[in-house]
Amino acid sequence: MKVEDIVVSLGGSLILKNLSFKIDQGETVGIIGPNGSGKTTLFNVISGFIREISGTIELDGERIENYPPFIRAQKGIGRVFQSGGIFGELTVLENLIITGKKVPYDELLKAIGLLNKAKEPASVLSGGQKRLLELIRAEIFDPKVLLLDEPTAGVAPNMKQVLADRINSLKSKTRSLLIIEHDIQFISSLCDRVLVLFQGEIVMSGKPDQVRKDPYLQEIYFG
Amino acid sequence: MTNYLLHLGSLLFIYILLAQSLNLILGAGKLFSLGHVALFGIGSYVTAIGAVDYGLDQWSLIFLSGVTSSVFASVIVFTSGRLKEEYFAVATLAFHYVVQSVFINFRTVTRGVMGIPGIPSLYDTSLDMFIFIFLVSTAGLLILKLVFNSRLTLLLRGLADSEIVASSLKIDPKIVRLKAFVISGFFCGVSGSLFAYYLKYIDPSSFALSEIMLLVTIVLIGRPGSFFGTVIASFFVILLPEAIRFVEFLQNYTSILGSLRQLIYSLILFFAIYLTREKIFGRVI
Ligand SMILES: Nc1ncnc2c1ncn2[C@@H]1O[C@H](COP(=O)(O)OP(=O)(O)OP(=O)(O)O)[C@@H](O)[C@H]1O
Ligand SMILES: [Mg+2]
Repeated sequence: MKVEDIVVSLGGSLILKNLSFKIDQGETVGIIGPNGSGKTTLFNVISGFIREISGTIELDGERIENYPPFIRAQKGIGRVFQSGGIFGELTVLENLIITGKKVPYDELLKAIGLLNKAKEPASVLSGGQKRLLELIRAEIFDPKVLLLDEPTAGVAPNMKQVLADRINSLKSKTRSLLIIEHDIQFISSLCDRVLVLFQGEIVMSGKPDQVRKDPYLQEIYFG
Repeated sequence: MTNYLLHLGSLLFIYILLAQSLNLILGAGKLFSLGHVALFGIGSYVTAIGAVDYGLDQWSLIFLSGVTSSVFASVIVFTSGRLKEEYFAVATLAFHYVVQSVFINFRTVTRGVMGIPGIPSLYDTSLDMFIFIFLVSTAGLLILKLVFNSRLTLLLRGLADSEIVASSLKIDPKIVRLKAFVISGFFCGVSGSLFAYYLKYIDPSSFALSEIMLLVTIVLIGRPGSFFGTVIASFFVILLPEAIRFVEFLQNYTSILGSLRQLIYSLILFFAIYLTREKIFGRVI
């Protein structure tokens, strides 16, 4: 996927300023940056919830920036949301069935320890369980490019490892992952490359270890 | 007495079908449609005009009424499908008034407020008529039950829950809503057709906006989105006010029974909305 010259203004202020990057098939790229730097906005642009933009988005050589969200999803863009990504009023099982895929749902629920909650409304799940459910749904959905927005935010350390394992199993030769995370340690273990977003611009990019050591990152994050 | 029960039974099955059509949209889809009485009325008028002016038979007219209401239901989606919550309600309210004013003012076709009398009687006895209504309505309800169990309803509920999440799972909001309205509209039309055949006379007053309150009450107290809930609530809401007629000490007050019934509906509706407010209005208020 190739994102080029993206400019977005919302409510009169410039949120993304001429942003360009590329992600290869099979690659896992992390995006870090302080609160309000435009990370979620970038995901909303890629998945089509913000369409008043300039710039281009290319997936497998096809321009997709004019398509509505559901068509981009059909083309292979998947999303794990920063919040509110599961259907609270549907049951846990229905949250998976809604993907329309023919897979053994019971086994998958068993694998994440939610089989006994299959018939309950998903709103009863804990934060970590909701994350797990959303990740397994993303796996069933089987996108070419998966956008994960802070998939481990607000979960306990032991759950973080469980989620990391699930994210690892989402990796494949034909799938690209873009992961927004604040935890640089965590992202280093998962990603091939890291982009640093600051005030709507990519100010740094490189191997996780390189970026982590860069004093500029410290400056951005800790002021 | 038997005739009275058959009368109630006939109205009941006409309204169950209509309420269930609304339940698909309002209950499962959480789309606050105020246009369903108009869709019902369109079905009634198609049958009345088709039978009186063109002499068509009942099966063609039941079908034609369903299809016509379907077409108008899809007009609602095309014009208002993208509107959010309360704006959707207002748009369908406007739809209702446009349709009602056509009933009243397009006299060459609808006969205006005079209404259309002389809709041919299908059966000689009220028992046979009841059986006819019962069978058509039950057939419709069976199909709707299949729809409630189908993937379409799951998608509709998902969209109601979060349109953003649903569309990121490649669900096309407009197509799902269009399909739901086409199906819902069809059965509104069928139930309107039964209504015209049952009363043998229709005029615009049968399709006043206040009728929607009855339907909304049924859907809300039946637990929005629940198929059997709506069936049971229809019995309750339609038969309860009738039961009051037989409470002995009220027999002397027949003059106030009409307004008493209104009062009871209002109270039921108030409590129904109060108890389900978060389910229905959760995202609005
Ligand atoms: N619809 C909107 N209208 C106006 N401003 C918006 C809108 N959406 C986002 N913004 C602004 O854009 C900026 C970037 O927001 P965004 O949600 O992309 O940040 P983020 O990098 O995801 O932050 P966080 O790490 O806190 O999730 C913020 O200043 C936010 O206030
Ligand atoms: Mg964010």
